[in-house]
Amino acid sequence: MARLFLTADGVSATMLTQAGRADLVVALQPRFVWGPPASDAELSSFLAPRTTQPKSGHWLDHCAFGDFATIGGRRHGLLELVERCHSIELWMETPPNDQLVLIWLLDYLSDHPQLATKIVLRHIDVPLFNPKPVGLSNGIFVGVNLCSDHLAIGSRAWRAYRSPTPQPWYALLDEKTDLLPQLRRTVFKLLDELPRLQSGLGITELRMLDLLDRGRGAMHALINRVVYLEPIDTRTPFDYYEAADLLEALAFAPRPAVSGVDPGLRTRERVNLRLQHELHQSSRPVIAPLGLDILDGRDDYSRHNPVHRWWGGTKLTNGNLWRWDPIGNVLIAP
Amino acid sequence: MASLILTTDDSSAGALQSARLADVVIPVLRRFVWGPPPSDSELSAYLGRRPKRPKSGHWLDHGSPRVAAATAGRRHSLLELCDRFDRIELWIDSRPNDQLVLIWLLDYLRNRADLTTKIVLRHVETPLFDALPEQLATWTFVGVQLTREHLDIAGLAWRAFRAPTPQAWFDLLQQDLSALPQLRRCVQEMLDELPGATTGLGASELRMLELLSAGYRHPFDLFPHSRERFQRRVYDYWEAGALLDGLALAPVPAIAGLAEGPFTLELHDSFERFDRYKASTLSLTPLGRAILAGEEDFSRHNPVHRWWGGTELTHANLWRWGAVLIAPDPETPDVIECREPWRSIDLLEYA
Repeated sequence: MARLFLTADGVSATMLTQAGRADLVVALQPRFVWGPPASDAELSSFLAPRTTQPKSGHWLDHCAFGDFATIGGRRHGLLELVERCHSIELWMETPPNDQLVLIWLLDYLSDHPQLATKIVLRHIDVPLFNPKPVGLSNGIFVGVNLCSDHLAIGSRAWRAYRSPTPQPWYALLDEKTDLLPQLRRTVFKLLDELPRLQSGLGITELRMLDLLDRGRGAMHALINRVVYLEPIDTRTPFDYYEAADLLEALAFAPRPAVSGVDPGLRTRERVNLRLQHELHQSSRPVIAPLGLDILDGRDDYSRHNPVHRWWGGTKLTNGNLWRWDPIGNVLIAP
Repeated sequence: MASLILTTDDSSAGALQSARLADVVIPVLRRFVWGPPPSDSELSAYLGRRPKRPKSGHWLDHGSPRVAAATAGRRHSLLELCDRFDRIELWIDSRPNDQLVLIWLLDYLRNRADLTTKIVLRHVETPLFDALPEQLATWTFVGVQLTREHLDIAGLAWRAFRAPTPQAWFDLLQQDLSALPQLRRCVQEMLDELPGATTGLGASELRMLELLSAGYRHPFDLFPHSRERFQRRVYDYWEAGALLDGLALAPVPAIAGLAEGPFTLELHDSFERFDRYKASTLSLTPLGRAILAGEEDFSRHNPVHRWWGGTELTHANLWRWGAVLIAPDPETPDVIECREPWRSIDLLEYA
């Protein structure tokens, strides 16, 4: 009879395990804010009982083997484990990727509503782990039993995010989503990453240009600033490597918005993180003329450069450039 | 080279002082987001030289003993003190009330354009009140010298905020406010606190209902101190308490179960009453649920009377906000009959 916690953050999972809050803590860490969307088949195989999944393709792959010895190893699927544990809690925090993991799980559970009722959703909206004070917060977090409304909202939101245009995600703003109190902000934060009406760049790219316009420093300091040091309500949803990819794309475009980035980063093998780190330390990026024009609202990045990135289920390209106008909160179709 | 920092938060002032970023750090603490607007003469008296028999507050009231020593007794006016220092920096946080203090101070300095050459405005993007002194010493915030443009924008915005209707404030959205980088967000966040087009509630009040709907139960779960939870930055502790009172103690309440009130100093002074307040188990009433569903309007059932900048919001003068600014309907009577919502009366459920 075990207590199972699910989180979307590896550090939180470690802290919760060490604090003895639960017998089993599993961190579900797919990055939904970045890259092409995983297929439905991949995602359900991730949560299914272990069969022939590839390395890192099973949800328990990163869990300590010893923790799972008493419950029969790391072979279980999510539903099985939910059935075997006497209490299950969802401990997703406020960053957008955490919230996407939450709605993904709610969607997955919506096919099994009878299991879902034994799961507690915790509203983790105070930083769970803060390096500044002394480790794990001993706060008491409000928890509610999952009900069909949670599953319905989660499911609608997840399908909206995975659809081939941002339209259904945008339409969530008109829906009543208060049962998931961090969802609405997540909707806004991700819309903010769509190319802007004027500039053709998302908020994180614009923020990096803005910082470059005002100061100089090593590339890794700039990325750290954007990823870790901004106040939580304006912080980027991307992690270090994702933000680095955005910045490198701005620097290596046919008409760059940023210069001064070591060309070695263009050719490095994607897996060589040490080399990447060294080059991030030695590069001192500066803003290029196009970047200045973009900041002044006089030019549009996508008029000069190819755009190719994923936003949820939407493939953003120059021909399929959904844009966001944060002043009027309007989504603009290509 | 004596230097002075003006800031708008007590803990920011403490951190800036400990980080030794200036010889003297003075917090200017004044709430503009709540209550009736002070008169012009009251405000100039506040920043002026302290009279022999003070009638009301003075801007140096909150200065530390160090400030008292450096300024020989906390009597000086703002302009006198500015004259005494060689370099003055404004370190103003980005919350709406901080930004309102900023535009007020800049508006006040408009007549002394000669001072601007020694005043630097720091663009503070990361909350100072969160910062540890050693972090402050390493973070660099861009500083710009004050120009006429800053003063003009601030003057325009300050007059707009104090106007008897929100129209001029709304019109600021059409202006280029980029010289004061946090001002646009302040304009939007203040507009969000006007009564909503369908709900009749401001964004902070609506957030309290949403949090109850999500499963939070106790009064302090609904307060703004948890920033990620509350997500709104306009009101402070006391103001939030008054908002909750308004929702829970209204003739037709939106929230049930508040065991004590109103949220006053007396309530805090009585352990027994305060404990009862904290332990209240709150829930949404049928009206509260209907408001969240977009089917009811709080102001149709309850009297409204609060100040928003220079605007006195009442039934007859109910400016609303919902992506556009909606002027009051001249037909609306000043007094309404408080009655239960006709749509979703479910007395059993309510009991």
